[in-house]
Amino acid sequence: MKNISKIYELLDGSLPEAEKVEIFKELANNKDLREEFNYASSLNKTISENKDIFSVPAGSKSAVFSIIGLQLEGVSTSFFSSKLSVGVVSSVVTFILLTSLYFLTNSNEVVYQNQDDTFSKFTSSIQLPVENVNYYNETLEVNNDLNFGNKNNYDTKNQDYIFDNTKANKKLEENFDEYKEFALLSQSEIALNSNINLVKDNYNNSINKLNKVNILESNLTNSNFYIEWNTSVNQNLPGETISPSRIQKFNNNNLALFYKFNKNLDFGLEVRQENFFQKYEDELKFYEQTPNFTTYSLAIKYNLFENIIFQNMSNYIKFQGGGNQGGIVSRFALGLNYEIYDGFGLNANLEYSNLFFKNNFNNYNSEKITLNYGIKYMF
Amino acid sequence: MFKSYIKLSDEELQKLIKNNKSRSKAYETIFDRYSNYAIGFIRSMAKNEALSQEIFQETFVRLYNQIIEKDDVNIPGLITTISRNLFFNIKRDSKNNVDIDENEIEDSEIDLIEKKELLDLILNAVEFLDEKHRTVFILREFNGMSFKEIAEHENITFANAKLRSSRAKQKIIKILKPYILDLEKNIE
Repeated sequence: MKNISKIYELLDGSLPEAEKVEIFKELANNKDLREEFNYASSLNKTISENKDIFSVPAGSKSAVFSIIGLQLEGVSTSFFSSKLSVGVVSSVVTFILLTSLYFLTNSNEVVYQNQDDTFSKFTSSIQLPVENVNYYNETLEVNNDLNFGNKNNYDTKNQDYIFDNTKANKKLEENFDEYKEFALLSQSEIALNSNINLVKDNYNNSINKLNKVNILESNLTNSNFYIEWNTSVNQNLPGETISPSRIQKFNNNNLALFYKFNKNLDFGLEVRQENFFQKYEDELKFYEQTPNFTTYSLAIKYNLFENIIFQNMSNYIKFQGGGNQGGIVSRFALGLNYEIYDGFGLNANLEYSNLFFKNNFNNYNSEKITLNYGIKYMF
Repeated sequence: MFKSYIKLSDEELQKLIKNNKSRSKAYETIFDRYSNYAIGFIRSMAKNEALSQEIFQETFVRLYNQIIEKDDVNIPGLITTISRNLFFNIKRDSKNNVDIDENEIEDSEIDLIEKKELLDLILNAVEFLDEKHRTVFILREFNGMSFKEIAEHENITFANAKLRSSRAKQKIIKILKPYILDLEKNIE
């Protein structure tokens, strides 16, 4: 029995040289062992001569998994194919989102540009006498010489803005009395016109300055970060199939964090759960599947026009690049934002997406057009 | 491949296939374990490559359904049964055409058929082995793994891998002895 085992080791080529001599001697003298050797030899020969018969045809595996409606995880291609990389990316995105939220909710500090082009920082909001604008409108008709004391206040550093309505009212009343006296004394039309122009200039300057402060006020309440959540309706993907279930139910959602770099340009990170319709082929046939993907991407948003159609409605274009377990994703979108209330708004866009993927060394593209709609909130 | 699944037995994998979350990975492990064996068996029956591939795919689709429906099936046994039935069904369905094709078989093809007869017998005999010997035999002979790789795969010693391989061969020879003798007589 021991020698029979050695026969298989001999045929496998794993028997030590010293033992080979011994087994050959045994074979020469033992008829049963020789018979066993012949059977083992033909078994080995048959299998080794037909090694090619055991090679699985390319594409068969994906074909079988496609028919039975299972996602073939072992052949995930290229980008983000490892589970580890997906985990790391999702952790980084979550960390950025959480730290951003923490810092944004714990700081009111805003950089403020002064009239002399220096910068100051505020750590609390300021109260602005917006009602002064109405007051100026009411007094314009009667007060043509409003070279009043507020000018001095505006000329000081912006962080020292003081709007004392009581003082302003008193000053206006004084100016009104002075104007009456002056009008009675001079009765000069030229002087009057000159003064009217002066008042208008002062008024316009005041309005401009107030508008600037209003903008700064809005900047104090909103930071440069905002989040968007959207859901999608796919326009050109096939419907779900139950049996076989190779076309899955669509669950398209995305969450994005954007940073407002300047008035027009925003940068962002996005995590999206979505479907792409994959169609590919090998030498046998075509395969179709619509797996669920988790896509991570970077986005650049360019804001085009403000106050289109309605006030607080703006439009934008967006470019995105990223990846998922299937391949590389690129997108282009044209969209609308409508701010409803203090940083909170609605968002909608029409988007073209492309998934570039590989299978059996062939390149494929999966395209889709989606209507995304959701909400936006600026911190 | 999936390191956590690769060392699991057929029975353990069948249980995982019944679970939605682990289904894909578990069935992929079964597929990788037996695909070489299955295609070898199917090719030994069907000379036509396209037909072999068609039977191969359908076999694994039906195997999956059987695993879902039943408990603890003998996977290599089921593979040979399903593929053999599929082959004969296809042959029966295209009986009229087969008669003509059979007449057109050349002498060289007859030679090939005789050589493959022993292989067919070997593949049939594999399903009669117990699981530990069968797995080592398939990994060694059909999947081309070294004893070191088999030892790591099966979590056994190198010497044990060699021993299981030689025991499997001994058992196959014991099963096939009468057939091999007949075959040799026919060839002579």
